[in-house]
Amino acid sequence: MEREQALKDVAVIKSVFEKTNIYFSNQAPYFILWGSLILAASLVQQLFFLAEPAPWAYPLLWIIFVLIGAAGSIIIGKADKVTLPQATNYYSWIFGLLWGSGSLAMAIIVCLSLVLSIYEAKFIMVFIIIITGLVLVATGLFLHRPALYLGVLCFPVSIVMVYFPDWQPSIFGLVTGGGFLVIAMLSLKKNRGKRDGRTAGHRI
Amino acid sequence: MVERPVIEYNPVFQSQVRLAIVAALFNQPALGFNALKELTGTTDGNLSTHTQKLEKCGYIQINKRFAGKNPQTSYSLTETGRKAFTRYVESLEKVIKKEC
Repeated sequence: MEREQALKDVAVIKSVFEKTNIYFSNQAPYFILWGSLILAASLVQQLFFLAEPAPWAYPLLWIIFVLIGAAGSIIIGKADKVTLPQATNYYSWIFGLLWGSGSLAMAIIVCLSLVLSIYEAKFIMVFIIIITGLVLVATGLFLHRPALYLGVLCFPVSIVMVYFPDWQPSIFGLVTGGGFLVIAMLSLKKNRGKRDGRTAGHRI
Repeated sequence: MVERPVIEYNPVFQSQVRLAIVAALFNQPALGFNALKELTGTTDGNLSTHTQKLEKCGYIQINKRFAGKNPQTSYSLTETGRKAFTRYVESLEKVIKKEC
């Protein structure tokens, strides 16, 4: 009898913990937004590069895409607040902190490249992908396991990029942009599976 | 004679709704009314009753404020609530492990 009661209570606690995880781990919209933007920006840069190299335009191109992404993220964040009223949570806080600091580091690199006119240096995108890799590893450790694998992948890819400078935009776009979209799909699939499966049956 | 483990009696956690409320708040600094309602799968009235009881016991803190014209209620777990929940979960673990 004692054991039955204990198991029932544990089931309730487990169910609530799982629901909480699903509730607050919906970062897929951000990954879809940024994945699409990175893919688009990389493609545009690659086309520019092949047609007529215009290195001064690349940082500006990325600044425009980053501004679009920032505006989109704010809109997604506001929409989240509508569905999650008054909720503060560690997931979104960690996620915001990681990507906020990562974006700041990338913005500093891009701005420095503009100010110091070193935009032709082939290492700018390499630095960016290394920072992206670090942030992805941290995200993977705290939130989404697939992000960890993509983050680790970024490091060998950064070396490949050094040896293929002409194709840096495409490599960067495919690995990070494509990777973000894959993470978003996996996250959505996982959440759907959890909602339809284990946690749906347990109502208190 | 081997002593049989028993669940540490805590009248607050006799209700599964209250147990669920505390569990939901355990990993979050604060939750709003609707979020808590959805996570515990309970009704407005039921949630209000149980949160008031938890507040009386000193397990949770209810914060009410206005965002513009709209009243907003959020709930957070107190240190007392956190300790009581941890102790209760430990006693559940003991019962399950010993009787396996």
